[in-house]
Amino acid sequence: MKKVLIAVMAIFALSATSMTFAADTKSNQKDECLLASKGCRDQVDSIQQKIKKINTEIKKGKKVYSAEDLKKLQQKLKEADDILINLEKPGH
Amino acid sequence: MKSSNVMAALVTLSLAATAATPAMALENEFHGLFSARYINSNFNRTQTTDYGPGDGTYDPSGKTKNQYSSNFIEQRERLTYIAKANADVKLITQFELDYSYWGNSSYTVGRNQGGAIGADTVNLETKNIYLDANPFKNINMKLGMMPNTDAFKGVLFDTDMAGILLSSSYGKFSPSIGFFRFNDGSSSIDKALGKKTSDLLMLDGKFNVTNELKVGGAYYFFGNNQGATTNPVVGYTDAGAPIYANDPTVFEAKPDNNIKIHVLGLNAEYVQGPLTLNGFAIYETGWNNKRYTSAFSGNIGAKLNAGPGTARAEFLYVTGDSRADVSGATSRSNAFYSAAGEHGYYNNEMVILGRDKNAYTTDNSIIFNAGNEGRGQIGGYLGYDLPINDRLTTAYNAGFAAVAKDSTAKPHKSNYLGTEINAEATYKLIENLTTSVRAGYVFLGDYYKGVALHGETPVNPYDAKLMFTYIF
Repeated sequence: MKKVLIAVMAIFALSATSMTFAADTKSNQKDECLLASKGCRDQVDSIQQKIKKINTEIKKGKKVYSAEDLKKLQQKLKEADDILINLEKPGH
Repeated sequence: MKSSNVMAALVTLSLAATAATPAMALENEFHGLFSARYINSNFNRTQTTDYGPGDGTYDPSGKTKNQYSSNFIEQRERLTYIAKANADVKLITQFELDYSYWGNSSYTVGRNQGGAIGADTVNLETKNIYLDANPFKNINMKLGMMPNTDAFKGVLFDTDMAGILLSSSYGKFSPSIGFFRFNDGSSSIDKALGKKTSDLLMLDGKFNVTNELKVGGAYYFFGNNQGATTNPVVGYTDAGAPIYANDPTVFEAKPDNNIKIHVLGLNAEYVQGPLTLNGFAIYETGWNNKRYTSAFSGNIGAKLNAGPGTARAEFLYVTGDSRADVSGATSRSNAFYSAAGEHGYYNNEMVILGRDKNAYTTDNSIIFNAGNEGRGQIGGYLGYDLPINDRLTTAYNAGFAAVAKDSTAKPHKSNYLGTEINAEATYKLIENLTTSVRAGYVFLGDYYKGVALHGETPVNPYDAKLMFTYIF
């Protein structure tokens, strides 16, 4: 019984975060995350989305970013491109 | 509740809390690829390639003129995990899980296995584990087992290798220096590591002359003094057993390798409006065991935005040697040296004539290595990429290739290897998921005339693939 109690407490501790997320949806709103995998708080970019986002930022150019920032973004773009290339690369 | 159980509960809770805290500080990235492809071919997975002595390189000699067509489904998953502590340090790990073909085996241990009923196979491959960090201002360091490609379209090396690579950038100049250990076979000979090794030293530099013109230079050194009791390993079977080089076909005890190859190369890229020109020239000199090597490779490539699509052209020349297949030859050699089996020239967009960009564990071509088993190569390639709409893209290619130097010991009717035509269509089904069809056909040249069983000429090879690919 005591072991069960410990396990329950551990589960509670680990699930505390997801309970917080679930509580974010108001009672009269659909949970689009559950329904259509959209707008999830822990959603991350796919590699294609990441490349698209960086390209969008680079296009903003010097109006928004300094030369140093643009250089960093170019480097990020190269890193993202390399990830994609390495995933698709032929080989054994 | 006993005090020990209270303690256990507290420890569990604090562990849960501490596990969550550092995760908040890290940027965790997962990316991956899944692909399954149906392959119909009288080339791949036949006795002229995978089930013959020429695994990797097409070899129809002495085989029946006609080949049964193979029909099979190949599957791959790659998973990349990147743990980024901050903008200056991250750890990159990539895994690969392949079924070389559905139905191959189950309840076993081995790379590319587990595609048969029941699955349950240990088949996880670790491709990369390396640190990518900026330890000093303007210095990037990659350390560990990393993907590394030469500055010459992959004709020398393009694979995963363990080592260190330091890169920097000073205005328009970007130098890099690296050291990589390919193999260390010292333990079985000298009972101490680091004495009998195969290594690569690389020095690379790129210079942006103008916005339109970039030039680069490189020096690579391949050194190998490993003991060679068998032929070099050029690949692995589905079961993970090494595949040895076929030349000579009889394994024999050999003295230690004595390979010291110096590679000097130049490359350039010029962009002017819709036109991009690029190319390279490589000269190799040094000792490849008993043969003094002096070899050359030259390439030029062009891309032009023409009409609704992009036209492409590539030309590659690699020197060959007529005595490349003579065992124990000591004369000067023009055979081109590369990391055997661990490189590939894919810019020609071939399916059969050259390395196939879609090849996974089934990986064969007429010209497999840049040096083409010591014969060298002369190839011209044309292509056109034609996007139809947002979802559908197509590509069309033609290639023409010959050996640079035929064997004097076993001469062929001609140096001409063949002409390939291929076409590809890729359709985006939904975001991140594509389906594509690619088919290639080769009109064999007279190099293969009369080489099949009973002096007959082998039928022309073809290969068709239907692929589904999900990338995230």
